[in-house]
Formats: sequence, structure tokens, C-alpha cells
Amino acid sequence: MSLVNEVTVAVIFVAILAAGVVAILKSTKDRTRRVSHLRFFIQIAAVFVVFMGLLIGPFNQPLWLPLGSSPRDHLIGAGFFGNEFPDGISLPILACYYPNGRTVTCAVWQIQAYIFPFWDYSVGYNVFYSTSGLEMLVIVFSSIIFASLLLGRFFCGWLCPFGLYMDLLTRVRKVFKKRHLSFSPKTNTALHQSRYVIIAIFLILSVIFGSYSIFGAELIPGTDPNTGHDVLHSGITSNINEPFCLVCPMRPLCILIECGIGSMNWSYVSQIVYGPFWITGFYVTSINLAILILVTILSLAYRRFWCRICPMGALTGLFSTFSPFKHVALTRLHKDEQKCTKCGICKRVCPTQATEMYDKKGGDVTESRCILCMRCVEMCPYGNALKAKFAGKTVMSSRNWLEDKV
Amino acid sequence: MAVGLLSVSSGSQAQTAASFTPDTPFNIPDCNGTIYFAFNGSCAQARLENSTWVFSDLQLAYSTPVASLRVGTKNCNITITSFSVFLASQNAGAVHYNVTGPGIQTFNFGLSPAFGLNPKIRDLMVFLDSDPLTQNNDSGGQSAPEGSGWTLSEDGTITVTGAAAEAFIFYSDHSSQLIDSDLPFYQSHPVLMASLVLVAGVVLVGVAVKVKSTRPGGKP
Repeated sequence: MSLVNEVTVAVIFVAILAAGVVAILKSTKDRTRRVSHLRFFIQIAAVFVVFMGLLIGPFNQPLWLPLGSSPRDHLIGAGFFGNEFPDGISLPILACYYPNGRTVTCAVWQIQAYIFPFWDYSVGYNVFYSTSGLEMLVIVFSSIIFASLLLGRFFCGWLCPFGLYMDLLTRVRKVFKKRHLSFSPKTNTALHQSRYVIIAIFLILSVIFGSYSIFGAELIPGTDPNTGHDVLHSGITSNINEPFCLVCPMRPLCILIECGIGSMNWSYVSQIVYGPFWITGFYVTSINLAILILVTILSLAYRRFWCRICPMGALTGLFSTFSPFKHVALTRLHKDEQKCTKCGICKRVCPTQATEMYDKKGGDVTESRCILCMRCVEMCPYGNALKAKFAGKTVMSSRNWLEDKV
Repeated sequence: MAVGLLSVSSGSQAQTAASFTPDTPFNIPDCNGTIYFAFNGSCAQARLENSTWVFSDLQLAYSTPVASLRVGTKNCNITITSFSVFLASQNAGAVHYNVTGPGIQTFNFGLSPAFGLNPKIRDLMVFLDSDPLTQNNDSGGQSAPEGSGWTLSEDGTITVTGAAAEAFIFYSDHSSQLIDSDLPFYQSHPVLMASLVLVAGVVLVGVAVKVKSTRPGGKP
């Protein structure tokens, strides 16, 4: 695709996006739903951007080219950054590396992958990097920090494809007129805190599986890529070096989409390739599928269930809501103590049961549980009691419902 | 309708701007070998040169164009089922073919002169009679080490001698991708520098906003 075509597609997309935003803002009369509708629209648009590689990728390829590579690999990631960083732009959203054509890439995948130095030809996926793993880790963490300071967990609330999936499940539940369940505050807090344990575990596992390449010694047998020539060992060295991906619920969704539109051969998903290690296919493990099913069921009952334990959200929250980052984060919520009546609506409508907006007396609200969906601001019935700010400027504030009716 | 290339009996002959079908044989009579492609395709030129077929601007259905490909076969017939360049910027690609009869196959992808000389700038894997993607056969999808069924010559020609039924060759030439160590750090690591600059920029803006909002008279 030529640069002119790419620019044309981008301009058309932005025009459609802008027209959609204007149409939603104009057409939605119910002001308690306006931002929600806008967010839903942005979420869908974000999915198109994230998976652009799928949409314009080559279809109907023979078996030997399950992923293809061109023109998808010449998109923003590989084409723009070149060989120094060919895996796509790091974003703090669950957007699986493989199916999306490297338009953007899940930062958790990159962190795991670069801890495990698979750019070593003998163990890797034959991707050549002209930079060291340490340097690429710095790039990824810089990307996460930049994105987190800029927009915080706005990524979770507005842009993450898996967030959209959970919101769709919520809509399904509402169709059946079932009320959502809520965790007790103690359980909810424990779930949110578990995010940090989860990501720590998987990063440690990445180091363990990459131990031979990192330290020159195997921490567990079978991780020496130079000697792993049987099926089990090749499975460990080539497939478990990104352990979180083996349990990530987003991965099967991505692959289902890819198979659904004909960009991936279903046999790659369905056939057993790594023998006895719980693997059901080249891309999807039985753990992936089990967790997706579990998360789906739980998300039908509890709003945004996965966001409470998401390691990606943990990273974004870490770099936007904890000191010293929270002092310079540009996107934040603000509460006016004088105007708040402690009605509790903000607490009840929060999909992740974040409570700081309610509990805090006033001032900036920076809570790692908050996904910046703005539902609290949208629903708050007191004018200017709650505000969403970007770079110190108010971009949205709560409205006085009584005045609206007058 | 595809126009089949004529079989060339000997010497150096050429066909220009021709298309071919799976039934089109590219014979190498001197070596008792024939090359077929599993899909329709076309090329700007195909010529038999020193018992090797040289294809220019080869384009197979479902595959990306290949600038140059030299294929030879001796005492066997091969059918090339796939041939694509993965990343043009990396000169990476792969070819898969089926073999009939014991014999020798040679491939030259027209890569940089350093490809055959410097192991550090190349990735080269040859899978002999094993499927590298499914790994559901006895050999476990492992590539064969150089010298065990295949060799690489200094001119970049891969000679496969150990394929009984099929082979898959993956290559990647990184000679043009290496960072010039003579360049200043900021020039040789532009993505890293850009990332750090972005973080520094957003931190500066954040600090400015914070200072502005906390000073007397500023908006909280």
C-alpha cells in the first residue's frame, strides 16, 4: 500500500470518526447516556485501528503463509520503526501481536518477549533485531509510561478491545434485564491488588524460561534452546517464553476473529502442535480457552471483571496513579468537595467498583482501579461536582440534572 | 489464460514476460531434473543458465514478488508450493517444495554477497521432510543443522541433498540492517531516543500543569 493510499485511508477514517462523534453528541438526548454512547463508538473505532492489519491483510493464502506478512507487516510498526523495533507500537491494551498485523502490539507481550531474548536466531521466531533486549525493554516501558502519563487507564475504558468485549457482555446481560453482581469491598480490593502479583509472576516466569539465554544456565530443565530438540523441549523454548500469552483471554478472541475473516487457517488453531503441554493449537492453549470462558461468565455477572485483575491495567495504573507518576499524569478526575453531597451515585455506577471518587473529600482523584470511563462524571447529578481533566483543562464535567430539565 | 514456457533443452536460453501454470515444466535435461510450481505465476524473464533456472521478478499466486530466484535440481523433480518474501526490509523469505526422487536441489535467493560469508548477518533454517509449523511428525519440526542434508556456499547458494519428500527453507539477510557502530548513539538508536524524548516531554508538560494548578491563583 502506498503512502498516498495509507494517508487517504487515515483521512477517511478520521473523517468517519469525527462525523460519528458529532452525530452521537447531537443525537443522544439522554445526557446520562451520551458519554456512554460516545465511548462505545470510540471503542469500536479503536478495534478497527488496532486490527487494521487484519482488515487490509492478504486473504486466502496457502497453508504455508498463515500470517502472511505483506502488506500487513509494512504497517506502522514494522514499516515505521524499521528493524530497530519491528514489532509494532507498544500500547497498554490487550491487542494480540499475531493477529493484528503489528499495527500495534500488546505491551505485556513485548515485555515478556524481550526478557526472553528470542532475537537469538537459534531460539527465536526468526525475527532479527538490531537492538538489544535491554534497549527494547526501555522502549516498551517508555511507551507504557508515556501512554500512562498521557491518558492513564483511559486506554482500559475507551480503547482496549477486551474492554469492549466485556462491555458487550454487560449489554447482553441488560438485554435479559438481569442486574449485575458486586464484590464486597474487601474482595474487590484483593482482586485489584492481585494484578500486581499476576504480572510479577508472569515476568518472573519469563525470566525463568529465558534463563539460559540470559544467564547461560537453565533454571528449569528444557529451557536450553540449543539442546531442546524434542517436542517437549521445543515447546518450552519456543512457546512458553511468553507465559502470560498462554493464559490471556484476549488471544482466543483475536484468533477467532482472524479465522472468521479468513486471514488465518483454522487448522493452525485446531491441531495439536506441542504435544503434551496443554496446547490445543499453534496459537491457542486450552488454558486460554478455559480462562476466556471463565472470564466471559464472570463478566456477565460482574461488570468489567477482567479489568480488576488485568496485568496490563496494573502497569497503566502503576505509571499513572502512584507516586511520583500521579503528580504529572495529564488525564485525571477531579472532585469538588463543596458541591458533592455524598449521594453515592458515582460509587454505584462505577464498573470496577472504584471508591475513591466517593471516599475522597475533594481534589484530584487518582485511583488505579479507575478505568476513566467517565461514567461517574456522566451520572453525577450535581453541576461541576465531578470533572474530567486533561492537562489541567476540563474536558467534561457533571451537570445539574434539575437545571437540564428546566 | 496462462501461457506455458517452453522447455529448454540445453545451453542458455530465455523466455521473457511469461506466465506459467502448475503443469508447466522447467526442465533441466543435463541434470535429469524438472521444476514445477504449485500455483500459477509469472516472471519477467526465465532462463536456463548453467543447469540452473534463473527467474526474474517471479510472482506466484498468493505470494509476494521475488526479485530473483535461481533454482536447480539434479536427478529429481521438485514442485515449489510456496515462495514469499516476508519482510522486504529484512530480505527475509521462505520457500517450500516437494521432491520426487533422490537428488540434489539448489536455491539462490540473490541476497547480499555477505550472506554466504558472514553467519552473523544471516538467519537460515532448512527443514527436511518435517513441517516447521505443525511439528506433528517424527522429526519434531526441528531444522537440520548445516552439513546434515544441506550446505551453504560462499556465493549464497543453498544445496539440499537430504530431502526425501519435502523441504522448507527460511532465510533472512540482515546485512543492510546492522547498526553502523560509527554513528553517534542518538543516531544509531532513534526509536530509543524518540521514546525517551516523548516521556521527558510528557513529564515536563505534567510538571508545568501541576505547578500552574498549585500556585496561588491557579485553578486547583
